[in-house]
Amino acid sequence: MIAISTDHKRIGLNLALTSLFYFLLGGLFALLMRAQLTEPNNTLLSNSRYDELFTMHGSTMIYLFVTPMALALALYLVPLQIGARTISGPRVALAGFWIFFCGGLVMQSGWMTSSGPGQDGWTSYTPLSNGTYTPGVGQDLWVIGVILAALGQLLIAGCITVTVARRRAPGMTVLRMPVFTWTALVSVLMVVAAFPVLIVALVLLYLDRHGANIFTGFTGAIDYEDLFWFFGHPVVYVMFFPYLGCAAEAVAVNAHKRWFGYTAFVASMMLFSVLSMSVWGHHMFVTGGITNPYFAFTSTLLLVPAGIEYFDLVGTLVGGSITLRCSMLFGLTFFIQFLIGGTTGIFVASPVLDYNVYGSYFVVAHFHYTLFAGSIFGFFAGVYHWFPKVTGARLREGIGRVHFVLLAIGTNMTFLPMFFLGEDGMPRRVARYRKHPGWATLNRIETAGAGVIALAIVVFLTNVVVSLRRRSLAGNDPWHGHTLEWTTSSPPPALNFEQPLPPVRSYAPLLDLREQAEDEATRRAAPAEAPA
Amino acid sequence: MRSGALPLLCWAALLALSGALNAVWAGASIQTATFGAGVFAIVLFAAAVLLRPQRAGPEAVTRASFATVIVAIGFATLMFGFSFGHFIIYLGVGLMVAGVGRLLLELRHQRRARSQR
Repeated sequence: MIAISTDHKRIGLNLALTSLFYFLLGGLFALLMRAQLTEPNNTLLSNSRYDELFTMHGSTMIYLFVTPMALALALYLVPLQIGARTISGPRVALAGFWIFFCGGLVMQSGWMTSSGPGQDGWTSYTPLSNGTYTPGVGQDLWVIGVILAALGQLLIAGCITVTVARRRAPGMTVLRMPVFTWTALVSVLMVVAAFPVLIVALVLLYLDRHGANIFTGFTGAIDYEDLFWFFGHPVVYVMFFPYLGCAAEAVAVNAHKRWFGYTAFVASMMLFSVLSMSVWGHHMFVTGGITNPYFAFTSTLLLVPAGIEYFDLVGTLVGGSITLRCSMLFGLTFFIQFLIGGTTGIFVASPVLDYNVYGSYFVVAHFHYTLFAGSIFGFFAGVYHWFPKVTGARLREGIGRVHFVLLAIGTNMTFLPMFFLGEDGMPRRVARYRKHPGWATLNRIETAGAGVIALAIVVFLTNVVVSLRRRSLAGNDPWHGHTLEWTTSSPPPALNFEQPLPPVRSYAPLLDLREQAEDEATRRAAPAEAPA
Repeated sequence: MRSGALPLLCWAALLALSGALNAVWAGASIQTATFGAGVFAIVLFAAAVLLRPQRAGPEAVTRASFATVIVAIGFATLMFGFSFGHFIIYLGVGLMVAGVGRLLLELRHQRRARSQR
């Protein structure tokens, strides 16, 4: 029943658990790569095995963990936040999950072939990925696995889009939707707009590999990159926005304040998401095949909506009554870590600077600060915030703090030295590097950091097991939440809400009720105090 | 206008604007085509939201669908067959046909349950 349920919460949980499994698998690939890079000229892995590992690490993390996990959160939470009893198209969402699940299996099944799995990076650029330079069934399985995974996610995103558009509770106008719902909505719009282009690009790549000669010559390679990056850059933001929503909800609830500047935030999300659909060419500055000024202009414009979000964060914190629970710690750190990724993004948004750092570890550091630090801290903010709603039990705060400290230390130990290596000219995607002053030390620090991240994940999993076995019951609303999901039981019933919903007059309806009750209490107390 | 379509249409309009700027500035036909495809996909969803009538009254909610899972696995098997062995394509097609047949039965039951209320 669990596997065939059309309940959005069950599908969301299944998707989240599958994604989490792939996170552990992708992490294992990363640890192997880091082990190889501990020493210069290390012989632990062959060149081709290293190629396979970095390809499958990137592909597993992007296609099978970060993006589907963002959709899983949206699938579980959005109907609850907008007061819907079900999602639109539950069968489509179920089909989406299973197609995604099978896509992951197909992609990983390449490990069992004699040619090995995909080995051309998560981008699979042509002509490297064509049938001449990468023959073998493993790369075909990679292509088909990615097509299936993307199609599954596209179907789920379509269901969430229609649910938001058609199933909002009475009073829940679009400008009263919670912050997380808005971040999820713009993400699924990007999936709907961009993922079909990836599917088309990979179908063409499959045909090209089997003799159709579609992406031939310089123009063909540029065309493939154009099609791929039209998906490839927006997906970076699909992997960011929902986690931003998690962090924003956690920060607002733990600051006991409304999210500051809601309308500006909504406008900035619209602008941010559309701009992020328009900047993909900055991945292609060095090709000479695109109009660099347009993409440099749009990439730099991203600073405006990003700045609004940070302004809103500060506005929410100022004057708030701040509780430093784990969800708050992860939420705040999400913003700090992403700031490093964002500010170093200014370098790669400028063609002149990008020419210098392209293909170096600087780029690896930048995108891990945006994709890893920018998603994982928001993800854990969401996990600590909504775990009681999903399971009925709270996660242990003490173990959570150990998890937080280890993850923060491990993340910065692993990715900060990459900036210095990149600036010093160490190229990315190499299994062996020459002896060079400082490189071995920095690489050893990174490897140790990857181990600390792994330890942090073990601590988190321990926390989950301990918290589920020896439950500290959460009740409906353990944090005094702001949004509708906190009105229902934990975990929510099959059709989400058994009691009538409270009136929705803003994006924080439960906070409205509490403030109204406080106002009434103050008013009642006032005449009694007057004679004294 | 159903307000749910509004954010979709606004978003599509902004994307079209950015695409127009790209067309004028860069003038690359493949880039204009990708922008156009993105806008078209969102407008399609907005049109579905606007044009599909909202059902009034009780709704028959499906709790589980084995048929859907069979169709999805059948489709994935079919795709897997393209690279791994063509006999698997036939297996995938068989699963899909069986799944669609059962899905039609499920939908009929659901329609009947709705009309009985």
